[in-house]
Formats: sequence, structure tokens, C-alpha cells
Amino acid sequence: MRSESDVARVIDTYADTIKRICMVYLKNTAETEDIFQTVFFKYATSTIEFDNDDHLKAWLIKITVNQCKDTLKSFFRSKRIDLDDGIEPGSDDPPDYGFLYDALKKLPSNSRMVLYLEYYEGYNAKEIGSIMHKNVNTIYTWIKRAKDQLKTILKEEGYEANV
Amino acid sequence: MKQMFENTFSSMHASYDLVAKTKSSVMQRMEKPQRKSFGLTKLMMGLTIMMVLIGGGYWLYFIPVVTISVDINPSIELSINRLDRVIDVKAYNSDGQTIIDTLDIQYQSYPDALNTLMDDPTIASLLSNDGIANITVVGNDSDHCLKMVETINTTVQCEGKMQCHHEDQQELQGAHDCGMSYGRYAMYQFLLEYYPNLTIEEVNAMSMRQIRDMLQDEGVDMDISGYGHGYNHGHHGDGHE
Repeated sequence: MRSESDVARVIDTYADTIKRICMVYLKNTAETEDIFQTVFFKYATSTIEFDNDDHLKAWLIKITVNQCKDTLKSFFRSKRIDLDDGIEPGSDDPPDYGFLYDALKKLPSNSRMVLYLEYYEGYNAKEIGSIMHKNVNTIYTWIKRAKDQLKTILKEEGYEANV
Repeated sequence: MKQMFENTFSSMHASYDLVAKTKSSVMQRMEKPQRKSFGLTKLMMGLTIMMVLIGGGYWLYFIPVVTISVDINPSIELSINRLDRVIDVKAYNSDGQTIIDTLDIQYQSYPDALNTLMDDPTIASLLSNDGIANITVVGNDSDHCLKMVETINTTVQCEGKMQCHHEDQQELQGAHDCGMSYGRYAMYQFLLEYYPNLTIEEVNAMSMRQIRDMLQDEGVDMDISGYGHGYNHGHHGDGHE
């Protein structure tokens, strides 16, 4: 069990990153609170010795992606989203993160995630493969497809982008 | 594109509330590892007890210990569990299948199930037209089977048209391989002593009345009111019970 001060420091340092992963993967903040508690409690109780902050950050992202996947698969979530159809679950979120986020929301979850990890977090295909438990060739395929999809959507929306 | 991502996501932050709630919740959970472990132990104990109860319940309820073979011309077998309940019903000819398709006797006690069977219009008609119901209680526990025979003889209403007896299961191992119920197979084995050339097909086509008459013609005492272990082999009552 890690110390409370260490856990508090990690929460302060990586809360924004976890929030962004949730927003990319789930497109809303409805389940963010549960995911935050699960991810940081896993950190608090894990016995892994991290080599450095990059190692820790990659581990936290990996755990968050897994939690988001589980949440997406959840029966209760899918039922709730069905019932709330037309009422975006994250309607209490800050309403506008800009046209790029709106365009990303139209892509499949894996496509959104690989683009975010490459462009914002700066991971290469091999590192993304490790985070998402996928073969590096699969990641290359996903990245290529995601870029094409994003380019098409942005064009349709009247934005020119060099993806 | 990298700059567009930077502009978009750098404005996303976890709220102060979310961070505070997460810290509070994680710290609380960190303080209660002992209780969690005790809860886990209790859960494991509960699951173990539940598995034992489920296993025991399954053993008690779903494992058949006795088979009651009901043969007239329709041949039907009832599988009986330790609680004397019918847990399976099988027909061994088309007449039997027609009857069980219209009756719901599963989970009844065996006397109730037998009375329901005897009240079936097809069976009632066969019995009123000189048919005989041959009821064979098949199992390995003779004491229990003989008690069941006694119960059947005292509780099943069949107006003297029923013959009930016990047979040892091990002696009737080949019955189902021949496509016969235990009761019909026991009669077949009996008939072979007097008619060694009789085929399975021929016996399958006979009613219990015909079989009984053939044996009586050979001098076998087929006392309809008698019950107990097996038939009276031999001529005119010189056999054994």
C-alpha cells in the first residue's frame, strides 16, 4: 500500500490526463468519477515499482483505457444511454471543446484514442500498441484509418486540415 | 494537426470537485483494507456454503434412485429421486409417448403420478378392456423398493387391474439397449425361459395381457393380487417370491 501523500501527489499530477482519456474514450463525463476512483485506488494498492514518471503515466493511461473499455461494454451503461437517447450524458460538461473534439466524437473509440495518444501525448505506434494491448501493425492500420476518417469529417465540416 | 490537438485538449481539466472527491474516496478505501479482507472471507465462506447446498440439493433432487416402469401396451418409465418425486418421464413406444405428451406428472410424488397415469382416458380404456398394468419398481435398494411396492399397492387406484413388483436394477442392465422399458424387459427375460425363439420385436408388439396369458398357458402363477420381489416362477405356485 502506498502512502497517502504519494497517492495525493499522483492524483494531482495525472487527474487532467485521466480526465482527457475519459473524454476521448467515453465522449462524456458521466462515468468519470467511478473511473477516477478505480484507477487511483489501483495505483494506491499496486506493488509495481515505476522506473520514472513516464512509466507511471503510461501505466495509468493503460489502466484508464481498460476501465473505459469495461464501461463501454457495461450492460447498464448501454441501457442508460438508450434511455437517455437524445440527452447527451455529458450535457453538464463545458459545452464546447471546439470543432476538433466534435469531429473526433464522430470517430470510433479506438480511432479517437490512437489519434489522441499520438498527437497529444506523443506516443509512437509501439507504445500505443502496448497501452491498448494490440499488435503494432494493428495500431498502424488504426492510425492510418483514423487520420483518413478525421480528414473526411473535417472537410465535410468545412475545415481544411493537414492530417 | 499536433497543434490542433494541443489547443483542444490543453483546455480540458479535471475539476477541483472531482479531484477532491477522488482523493477522499481513495483514502477512505485505503483505510479499510482489513474490513475488505474480512468481507472477502465472509463472501468466500458464503459462496462455499452455497455451493455445498446447491451440490447437496442437486444430489437430493436431481439424481434418480428408483425407476418405476409402467407397462400395459404403452411403456412408460418414471425416474424417482430420493424425495420420492418424479424427476423424469420417458416413453418406450409410441403409445406411451402419446400419453406422456398430454400429461404433466413431473415433480409429482410417485403415487400421485401413477394415479394420474391410471386416470388417463387411454390407459383407463385399455384397463377396462381386459388390459393389465404391469408396474415394476427397479432399484438397487431392495428394502426401499419393496416399501414403494407396498405403497403403490395400497394407494394407486387400479381396480384390481395392476400387478406391481420389484426387480433388481443390475439384472435389467440390457433393457434400454433393446429399446425396452425395464418392466417389459423383465417380462421378456421371463418369457425366454418358455419361448427361447421369441424376438425383441415380437415382445415389443405384445400387450402385458398377452404376455401374462402366454405365461399362464405355460403354467406360471401370475397372481394379479400378489406383490413382492419378482413373479412366481414354476408351475402353479411352486416358485418363489
